[in-house]
Amino acid sequence: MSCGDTEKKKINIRILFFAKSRELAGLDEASFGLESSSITSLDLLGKISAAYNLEAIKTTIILAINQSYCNISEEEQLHLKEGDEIAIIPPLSGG
Amino acid sequence: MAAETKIDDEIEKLRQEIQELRRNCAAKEKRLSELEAQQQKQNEQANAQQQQTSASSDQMLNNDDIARYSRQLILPNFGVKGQLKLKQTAFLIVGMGGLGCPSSQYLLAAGCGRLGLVDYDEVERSNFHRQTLHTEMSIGMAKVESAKQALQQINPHCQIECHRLLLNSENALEILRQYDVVLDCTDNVATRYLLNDACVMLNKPLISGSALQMDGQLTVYNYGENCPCYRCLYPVPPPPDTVTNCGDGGVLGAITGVIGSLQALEAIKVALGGLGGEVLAGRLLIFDGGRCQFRNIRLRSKRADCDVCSPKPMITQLIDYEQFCGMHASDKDMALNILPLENRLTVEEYKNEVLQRKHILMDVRQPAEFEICRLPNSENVPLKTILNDSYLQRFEEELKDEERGIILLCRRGNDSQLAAQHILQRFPQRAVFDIKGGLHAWHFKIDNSFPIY
Repeated sequence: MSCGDTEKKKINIRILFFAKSRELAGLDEASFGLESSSITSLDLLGKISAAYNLEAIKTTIILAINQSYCNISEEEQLHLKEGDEIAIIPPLSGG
Repeated sequence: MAAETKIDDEIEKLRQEIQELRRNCAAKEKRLSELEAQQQKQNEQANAQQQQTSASSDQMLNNDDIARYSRQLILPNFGVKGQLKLKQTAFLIVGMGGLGCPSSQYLLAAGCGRLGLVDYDEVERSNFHRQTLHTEMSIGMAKVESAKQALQQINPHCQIECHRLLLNSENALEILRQYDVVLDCTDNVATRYLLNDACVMLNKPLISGSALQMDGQLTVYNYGENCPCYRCLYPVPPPPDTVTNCGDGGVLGAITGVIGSLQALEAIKVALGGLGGEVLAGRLLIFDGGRCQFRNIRLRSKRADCDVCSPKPMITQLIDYEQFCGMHASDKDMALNILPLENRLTVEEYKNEVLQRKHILMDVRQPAEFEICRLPNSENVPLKTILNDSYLQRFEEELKDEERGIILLCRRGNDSQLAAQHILQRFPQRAVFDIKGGLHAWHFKIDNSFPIY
């Protein structure tokens, strides 16, 4: 199988919502379908924000893929796998 | 009727007298602690003179220390060396609320040498469920004084310094400079950026905890070479209307308790160089109390173009953080003023003029809040269901009657304006009003038996 085929494969990722994002999305977690496993982190955040009502906070979210910080940029090319876990972590300021 | 008035008067008089006594009591407590501090200083000076021939008090453990700290002294990575190091370390806790209470308690109980407490606020009843150092007796007292009193009961051998002030760009560096490790136990975004920048400038480790509702977060900034700062993670502050505080969103005391205790743990590890483990720097701990799950997120390294911690920083002195964030440096709500005056009713106007007329009173708070208390003739219509227009269907019949006024009510008179504004856009000709100051105003001006929260 060539590399190109893998890239175009549809996959499902698992999204976990924390703090404010949980309130805005109205969900704790969701399964999210992607047309291609190859996507920039900026695109991924854009798609998730549009789908789950996160536009208002998307500039201040930490995106963690499989418990690791992901830099948000159009140059950050991701190669995701089926079942990868994407955590949406907005800052928390209360105390 | 006359008898009722007499009782009312006497109750009011007693309330005032008690309040006066409390104020008096607080003043005396303050004076007492000042004198005690003076006495302690004198004693210490005397002791120091006595001990000059031997080692000074933070160079060795006395018998009281050995008995008191025995259970941690026998920990393999702690030991006498760790105890002495703790005794020589000064910690600063900013915010004596839900996080500051448990963290100060554990640091002090563990035998830290010097503990600074910063808070401008006073103790009130709504603090008690999570701010566990304050008691019924300390209502109205400065939080730092109330906490100091409680802490001295736990361990009288540590020095506690109270800074009763709102930390800002003018005073932060001077205060932080006096301490080795800083704990961010604050409740607002502006102070979080302030503490971050100040700690970067002074090169102090910052143990940052936060909590809201059932969630908690914890990390250590400014510890080690590659450790990112708060700005590396959040270069821009969140839009003010997306920030929820504990007063509006609620929080469970056990959640702040968990995070505050972990802050004390990390602060001790930082002071002792890791305690044989690994400090939570470059990692973010997320606590989901609802599922009782902890997650550890591996964070990025320093941002090469970070405004404050990069080799060529844009910010080299503290800025105006309230302006930068567009938010006040407290968790107190700001009063919105977005509705034209002619659409705003005072509680008196509502009670005396509108109550008898045909109207719908919509209480736009969350159902959980509506359950706590409500006006008898009100309908619970949560703000969300107004903003997404689902109220139109629910009140289809009532809305047909154009004579009928629509009155919006909430806890303090902010959300009611948002709701009124939205309804007015659809029905510009109708009589739509909000009630200024909401149920709080109702309590203070109409009926003080109505609960406030």
